Amino acid sequence: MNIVTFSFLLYLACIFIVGITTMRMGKTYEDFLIGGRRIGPVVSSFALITSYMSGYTYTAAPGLSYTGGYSTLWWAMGDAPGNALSFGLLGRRVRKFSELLNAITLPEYYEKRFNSPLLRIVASLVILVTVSMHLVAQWTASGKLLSVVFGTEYFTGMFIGCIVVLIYTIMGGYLAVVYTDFIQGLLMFVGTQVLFFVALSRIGGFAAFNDALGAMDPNFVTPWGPGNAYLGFLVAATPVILIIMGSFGMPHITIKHFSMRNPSTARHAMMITAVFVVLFSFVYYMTGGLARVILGENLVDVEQSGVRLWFEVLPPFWAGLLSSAAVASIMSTADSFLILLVSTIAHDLLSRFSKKEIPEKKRLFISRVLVLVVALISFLVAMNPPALVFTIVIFVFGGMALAFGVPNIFSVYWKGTTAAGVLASMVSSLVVYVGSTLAEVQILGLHPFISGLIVAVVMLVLVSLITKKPTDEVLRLFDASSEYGDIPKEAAQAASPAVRCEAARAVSIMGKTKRFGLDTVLEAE
Amino acid sequence: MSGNEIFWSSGTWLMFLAQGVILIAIFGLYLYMGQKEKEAAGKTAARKS
Repeated sequence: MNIVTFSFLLYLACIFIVGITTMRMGKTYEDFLIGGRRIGPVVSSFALITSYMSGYTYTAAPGLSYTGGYSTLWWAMGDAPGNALSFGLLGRRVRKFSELLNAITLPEYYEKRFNSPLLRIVASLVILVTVSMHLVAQWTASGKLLSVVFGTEYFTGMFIGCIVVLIYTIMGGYLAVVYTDFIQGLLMFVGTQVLFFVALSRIGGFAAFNDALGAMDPNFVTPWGPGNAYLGFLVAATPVILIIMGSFGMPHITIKHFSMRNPSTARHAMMITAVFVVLFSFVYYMTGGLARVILGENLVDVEQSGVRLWFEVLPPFWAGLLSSAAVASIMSTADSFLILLVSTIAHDLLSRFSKKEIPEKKRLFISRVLVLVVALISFLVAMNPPALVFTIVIFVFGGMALAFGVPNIFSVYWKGTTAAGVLASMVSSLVVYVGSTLAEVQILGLHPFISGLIVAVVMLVLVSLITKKPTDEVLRLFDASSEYGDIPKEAAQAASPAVRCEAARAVSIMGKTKRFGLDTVLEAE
Repeated sequence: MSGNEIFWSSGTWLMFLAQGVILIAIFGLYLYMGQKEKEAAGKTAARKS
């Protein structure tokens, strides 16, 4: 066994130990889906970052920089504010509101916030489509990376990544996901920093790197890139806005807000996230530029530039460690997606709309079987990937940002947001975005995402203004969620175990409020 | 002009500076939120007493 394989197996052993440990910790359905709402700021922060970064980090990002130099840092500019503010501006309020409404998934939150079962169905369907597509990108990235690491076929690389994620997700559920994400985050951070500085010193330092890159094409070292691709305010701002809105909208990110120990966890998580991402995001993009200088300009698959670089510049042990970091980035996203898909199918669709109440044990079993089914389908699609990882991820990212980013923000910052407004916003913006992307049309010269964003905001506001306002109870909860401070313990304890199948006995928001003792909270507020 | 000179003269370095500014701004928000949480905790304690 060589050192690369040994360090990779060592990493896998750590992950499985965490899986087994958390399997014992997770006893209930709520534990499986959102970790019993007891995740602290450090783990919440790392879980969000690693879920966000995905296989994109080690394939698409270096690939982009390999072909565009510094100009591709526009894609990295939104990472830190997007991730951090998703905790600070959105997470704190969403955490509080979701607990007051007793919602443990995003579609459930929408249904209760806007009193609309239809909205729950539409949100669930959008999640199923977008997340499944994103999962395809993760298996594709796995195939590309591991085929280089182990010198195997693309299929074998995909297979290894898929099997490892499945085993520990099924074992431990959400707790396994967040705690393995924490370990994976550390590994990704250390591994990438080592790669960056070793590669930079091999070239001769920062100035020598700039000189070498500029000698290939002077545009590589400007903010506008080859062909002035990013020249112009809106052109440069589009990736930044897309990334920030995506951070507010991606459902597997939002679930990290739900699972925080309390609303004030968001503040600390925001700061940890900001520091970590600022130190990390530029570095992983720039590995592509470093690869171009060190490996030359003739790589066939530019999305393998990062992985080829670390085998070129690092000793075998570090290369093996970084291989683990790269696999970690895929796993940490794929596992979050699997949990999200399962919660959407089992909790938001099956449980919610079945006529009989399904026992908790049975739901847990169904959830785990569904992990397998969804993974298998996405795996089959990834055997012949429809596009580059970058293309798939950014397309899905835009869709999630429009479908959920805008409604999420309005749901906690504007009282007057209505179910009809959110529905109109989701559907119209997705039609504009997907339609103009597929037809390769730019309405008024705008990027499809910007067109979709304008439509999303305008439709949400206009339709909300002319449709029926939310109930008084929801408005009272809105006020309570916007206040600073945590939810009183007695109310939180009353709400937490009350996760039940609500199919046949769906009651009004007013009814739930009384049942969970939230009148006490509102009086206290 | 060398690549390093283009890096500095074209303003690419501002992208790095922007990251620092973002970090400072978020630290400001962190302090502001901490202050608000303190006030909220004070109010709750006063209500209880």
